[in-house]
Amino acid sequence: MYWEKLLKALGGLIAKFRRGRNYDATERRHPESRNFEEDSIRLVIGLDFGTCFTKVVIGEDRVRYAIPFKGLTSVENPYLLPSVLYVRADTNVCELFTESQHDDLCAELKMPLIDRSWSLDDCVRASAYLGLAIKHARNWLMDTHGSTYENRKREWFINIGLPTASFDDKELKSVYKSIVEAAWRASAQDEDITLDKMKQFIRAEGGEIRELQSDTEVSELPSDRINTFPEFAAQLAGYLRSSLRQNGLHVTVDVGGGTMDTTIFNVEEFDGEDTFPVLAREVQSLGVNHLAETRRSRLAQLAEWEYSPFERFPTNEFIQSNFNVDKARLDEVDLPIKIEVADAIRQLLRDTKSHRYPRAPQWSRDSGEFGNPVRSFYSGGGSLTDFYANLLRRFEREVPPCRLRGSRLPIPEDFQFASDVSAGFDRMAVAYGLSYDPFDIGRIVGFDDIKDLEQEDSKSTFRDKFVGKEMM
Amino acid sequence: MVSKFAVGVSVRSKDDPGRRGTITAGPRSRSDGRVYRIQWNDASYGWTPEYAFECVDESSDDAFELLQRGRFGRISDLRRNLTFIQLSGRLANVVYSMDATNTDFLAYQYKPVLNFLDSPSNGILIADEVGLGKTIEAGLIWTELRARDDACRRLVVVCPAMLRDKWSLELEGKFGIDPRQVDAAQLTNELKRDRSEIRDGQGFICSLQGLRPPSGWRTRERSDSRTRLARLLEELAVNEPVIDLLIIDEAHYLRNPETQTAALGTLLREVSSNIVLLSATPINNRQEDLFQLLRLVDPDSFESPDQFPQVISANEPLIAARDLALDPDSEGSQILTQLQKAKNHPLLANSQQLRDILSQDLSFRYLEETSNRIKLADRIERVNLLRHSVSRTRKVEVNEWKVERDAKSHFVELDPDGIERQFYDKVTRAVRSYALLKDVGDGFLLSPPQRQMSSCMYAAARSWSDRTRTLDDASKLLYEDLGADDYLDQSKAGPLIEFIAESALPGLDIEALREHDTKFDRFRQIVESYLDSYPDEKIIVFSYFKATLGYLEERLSTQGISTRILHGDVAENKQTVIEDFQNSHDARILLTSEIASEGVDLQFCSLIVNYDLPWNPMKIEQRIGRIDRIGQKSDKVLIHNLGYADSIDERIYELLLEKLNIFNRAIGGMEVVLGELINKLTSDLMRLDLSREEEESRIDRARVGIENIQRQETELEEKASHLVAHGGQILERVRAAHEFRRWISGEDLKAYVKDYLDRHLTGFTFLEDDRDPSIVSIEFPAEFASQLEDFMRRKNLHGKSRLSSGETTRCKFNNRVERLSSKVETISQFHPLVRFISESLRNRPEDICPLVAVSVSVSTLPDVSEGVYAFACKKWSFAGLRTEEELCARAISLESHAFALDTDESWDLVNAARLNGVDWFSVSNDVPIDLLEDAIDRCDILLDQDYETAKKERTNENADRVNFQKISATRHRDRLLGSLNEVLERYRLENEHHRMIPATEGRISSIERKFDRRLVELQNKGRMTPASSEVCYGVIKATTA
Repeated sequence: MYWEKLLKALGGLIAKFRRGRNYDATERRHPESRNFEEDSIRLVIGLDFGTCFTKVVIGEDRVRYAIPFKGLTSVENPYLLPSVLYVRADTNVCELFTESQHDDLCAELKMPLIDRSWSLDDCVRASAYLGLAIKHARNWLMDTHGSTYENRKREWFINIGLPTASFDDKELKSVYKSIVEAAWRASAQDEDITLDKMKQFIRAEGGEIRELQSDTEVSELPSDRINTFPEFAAQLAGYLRSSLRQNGLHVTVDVGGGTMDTTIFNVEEFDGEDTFPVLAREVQSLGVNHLAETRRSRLAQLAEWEYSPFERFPTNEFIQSNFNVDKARLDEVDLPIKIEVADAIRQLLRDTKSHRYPRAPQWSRDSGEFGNPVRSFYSGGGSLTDFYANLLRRFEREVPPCRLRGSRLPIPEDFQFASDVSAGFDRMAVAYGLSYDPFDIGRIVGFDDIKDLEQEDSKSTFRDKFVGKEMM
Repeated sequence: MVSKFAVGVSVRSKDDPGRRGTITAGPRSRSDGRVYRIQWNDASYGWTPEYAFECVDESSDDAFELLQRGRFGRISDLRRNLTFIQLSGRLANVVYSMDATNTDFLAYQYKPVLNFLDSPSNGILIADEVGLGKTIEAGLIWTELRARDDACRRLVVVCPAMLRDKWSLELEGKFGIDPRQVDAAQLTNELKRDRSEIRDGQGFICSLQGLRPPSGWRTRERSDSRTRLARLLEELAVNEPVIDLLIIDEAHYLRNPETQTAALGTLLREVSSNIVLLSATPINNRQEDLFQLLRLVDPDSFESPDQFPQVISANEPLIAARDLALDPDSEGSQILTQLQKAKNHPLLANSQQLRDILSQDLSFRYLEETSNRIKLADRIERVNLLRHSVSRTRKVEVNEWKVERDAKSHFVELDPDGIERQFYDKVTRAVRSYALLKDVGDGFLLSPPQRQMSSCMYAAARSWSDRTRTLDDASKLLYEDLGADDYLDQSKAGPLIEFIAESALPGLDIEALREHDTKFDRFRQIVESYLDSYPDEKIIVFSYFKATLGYLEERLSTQGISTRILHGDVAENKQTVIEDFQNSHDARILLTSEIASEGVDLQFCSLIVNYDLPWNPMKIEQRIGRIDRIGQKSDKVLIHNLGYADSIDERIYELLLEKLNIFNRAIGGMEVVLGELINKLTSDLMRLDLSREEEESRIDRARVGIENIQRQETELEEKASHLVAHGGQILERVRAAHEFRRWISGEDLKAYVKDYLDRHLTGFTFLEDDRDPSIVSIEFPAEFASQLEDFMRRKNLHGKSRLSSGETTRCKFNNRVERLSSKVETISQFHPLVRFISESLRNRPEDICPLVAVSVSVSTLPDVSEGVYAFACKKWSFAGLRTEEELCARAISLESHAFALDTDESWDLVNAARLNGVDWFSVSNDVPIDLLEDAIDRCDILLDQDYETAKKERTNENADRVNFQKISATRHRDRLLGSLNEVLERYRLENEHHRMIPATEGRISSIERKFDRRLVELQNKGRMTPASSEVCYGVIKATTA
């Protein structure tokens, strides 16, 4: 009996030790605090919750830290946390990483949300996962830069990204906020996060997901501290503050594991604020998984190939040499997807030209065969694969109704991360942008808030037609 | 509560106090309080909570106030602050020319630059040995001058005519200067132009011969362009200098004060602010030679040859004292003895600096510290008012580059009964007979035919059989080889050639000489074997004779070996031929006369063949010097010497050249003396029918003579070293400047420009290239573009930038001088935009936080150990005879309070933090503020003490300089007036120049006025105006992380 008690106590200690210190949200102070007036400091957690990987950046006025997840991820880039939750079969305890074979693995954390098929359990799992990620990020900051922040009153904010198309979905936005609120509360607990515990923070009410008021003394974030932003706008935060910035028409293409998210929007300043009227957007299941699936189903040599979205997508050369696939044959197999992807982007451009923003100077052919190119940014792990990179490059050369000019996002001076993954900034750009103050990410004029223009109505611009947020 | 913030209020960030801005909107309320929109002065903007900023108040800029409140600025503040001062100021501890030219960094090449900057006379004689890059050193001095003084515009290079192309190439390629070769008339026009009309970045290159005034130019009736130039120079001498830097290459041509070339030097010096003389051979067998050149460097100090030994003797004890100070075993009393000896010298009796050093503590404890010894040596050196007049580097001293010389001789045996032997003996006999018959003792006359025959029998016989029967043009070069100033009259040579032709050619089968050319056969073996072994290499072949070169070209061509040929009659210019040879894929051999032995760079080859052998060792040195020079990539150069066995050539080679070790080490300069000696030897060998033993004995005698000259030269050089600053110490300064980046980089410039544009301009484009961040597309709004245009017009910089057009311009930030190209515009420290920004910033205060906290890796630091250091940094300026500025720092370790870094270490620490530092946000929590405050306070006190010491030293030095210059100016005036009064007296006595009297009287009175003004000016400058201003304070964490 005695031994049992002792082992249990020791186990608790070991568990606590393994967990390390959990810095709470606001109040803990360093005992030897200095005699300066204790200024508050604003700290913003930017959460880029992806289908395959989640990226986190914590920002303050001077610097924005990319949060590494060393030990929690097997991939080469420590800033990419697989969007996977492990749940211990016996205790329901949730973890970001496990070596046990017996734990439940929940990989589809985001998809139920964006395809609007969520259940309460889906939300609980997503919330538990984000709670763990937030907890890790906050503890990393305090463990690594504690001496900078420990004596300050920390004012936390959380911004989370949404696909552009989902941004018009008010219900989904509300669910996201509830999930993040619950995640924050869970993260402030010293105890393990369990699915049962998460259910104390989140519940379904008349089909709506709501966070629960807590009766415990955990820290809460006021509701105005949690905000959602479309990923395309967040991604531009660094670019807009760089010398590369240009106002006017832009295109972003985010190729993820499951989806390809294309957005066409304008960049402008309105009342001194960055404003992004969304002219066209589409999320389609044209991500890397689709490419992998198509290749596997149409190429006999790849029938046995198992592609994991958490691994680097193999290059064409690798597939040709390792699976003995002829280049011509691979091109043939890829062709339908190529057409599908190109058509999707081209159609959005055409729509924009014909009835969303016909007067954009980029459609004019005055200054070249296809007019001025539209600045475009390609992001997401998929955009780095041969297939998508080559395809997107073609848009820079020829495709009407306008040329695209693919640019790399500039690496902002205040972004702090290990230089050896500098090539990966494109993948961190959304989280980076989300680490800005919610007032600073810019005003989004939703797709639905801008009415279509007919070509003959081209004297007026979309600006005359849209209803700004403040007017709603 | 009513907020103290409102739209329009100036605020600053609490966590980043260098970041200031203005509230433009708000407040908006939310759960963390009120939030305001702020337009920051770095062009960023954003909503900021009230707790994150504060009003800008009066005490905002006080470092100690900021410290009390824990408000530390960032690395960007330190960078902006120091970069601005470095770029807009003219700091003594920054080498602006470093890494700013298209030359490789070689520490010793900056030695003359630093010497020049310290030279009180604004002049220097660079006397490096051949092949060390004197041209580059002069170019670096010009780059340094241009960077330090925007008004420095007019560069004039005077060199022997054959070097003009080389100078053009060097100035353009390495220093971004637009070279213009001008004659006397064009230079006259240029010098008449007002200073405000001088365009930036031009250099005028003239030949010594082309500018040399004709004798009697003052009085002659006919006025040609050279006379007009001389008269203009004399006229301008009483005004402000019109040439900013005068470079005279091969300055030894000016050694003889009696010549018109020397007169030209004096005339040009009088109108030049700065002068650089280049000569590998400034010293001959006479101390006076050096004196004559030094008189050009510093005419006021080196007034008369009689005074020269006195100056040297005054300096002797100072040099001894300096060397003792640097010798760790010496005692204070020994140093004092030497200093006292110096003090007793009349020339130094009034030196305030010396008096000050003599009153200094030279105790054992003081001298125990090496840094104190170096400081003392430096102070002693500063007493020497003639210091830094000469900068000399010898090849043996240069560590960066060591090339071994490997010489091989090939004296081919001739068949005793063969046609070659017969022809050789016949010609030799003919020459001797002619000497006896005509009683000719002149080696100049006798030597060329003999040498031509030794070069190539077939070619010689062919050319003599020609009806015109003149000497090969190359014989002119032979006279130079022999040290003659004037060439032989062709008419004198004609009869000799006639005589030889009559004696040696009848019955000679010339074509048989071609078929049995033993020398060529050996030559062919050498080159074929080399070219086969090294298929990418090329060869230089020297011969005196055009006919030989033509013969070689023809024969090599039949062997399938492609060549290029270069001699005086080749239509293209020398550099074009050399470039063509270097870049051509097929050409493997350059066949050249002596024309390529001077002033050209052939170090892309590592083998030379002397097809015929100069007898004068200096000529051999010159030939080898083309490939044994800076830039030679191979660690060994090969020299193949060809000749006939049992010939005079062979005996000279073995007994003279080899014994003097001429092929294995570079020799100094003694060409004129050697010329005389060699001429005597030549004369003996040619004229007299000597036995072999007698020939050998004469050659040996010449060798002993040369060795004596070498000894004398070494002694002279030792004496001259009294005028050369302590090279080792200067080299240390150069290396430290390079290692610790006391220079401006392209990155510094980009940050400087971007920062300015962000803070002071809106609506501009600054787009970085996706692939190369140093390339930026810049476009300015119309108003700013027009301001820049206006600035460029005012400063005469038109055509130097396309940015003022308001159109998008691709620019590359690279601190290298380059001419405006069609594609990408280089932005260096000389670019109009950088100058515009510096001028603009001088007139408006910047928001820079004067207190910073920075962390830096110890791996990037000089000898500084891990720890936390407080520092203070100030700018000193001393305006006296000249204005000097210096950025000075003091740092103290916080761990060990007693440990203060010296000024150099402190500055290197602060500069390394500027370059490699990162923000240190947690400083307020990591360092006890009271401890830091004490330490910064101590740095401040130490720096003030340093300042007081420096002020005293500079004031004394200034006073000594002014005093010296007053004496010199008076002497100069008396000298000028003396000679003019003599001229005037002569005019009065001689009736014919009567009309010159009023002009001469006018000149006398304008000289008197000029010197009166000068003396008043010196009087004013004698009062030094020192100032010290705060730059920044802070704390640096040197960490291994």
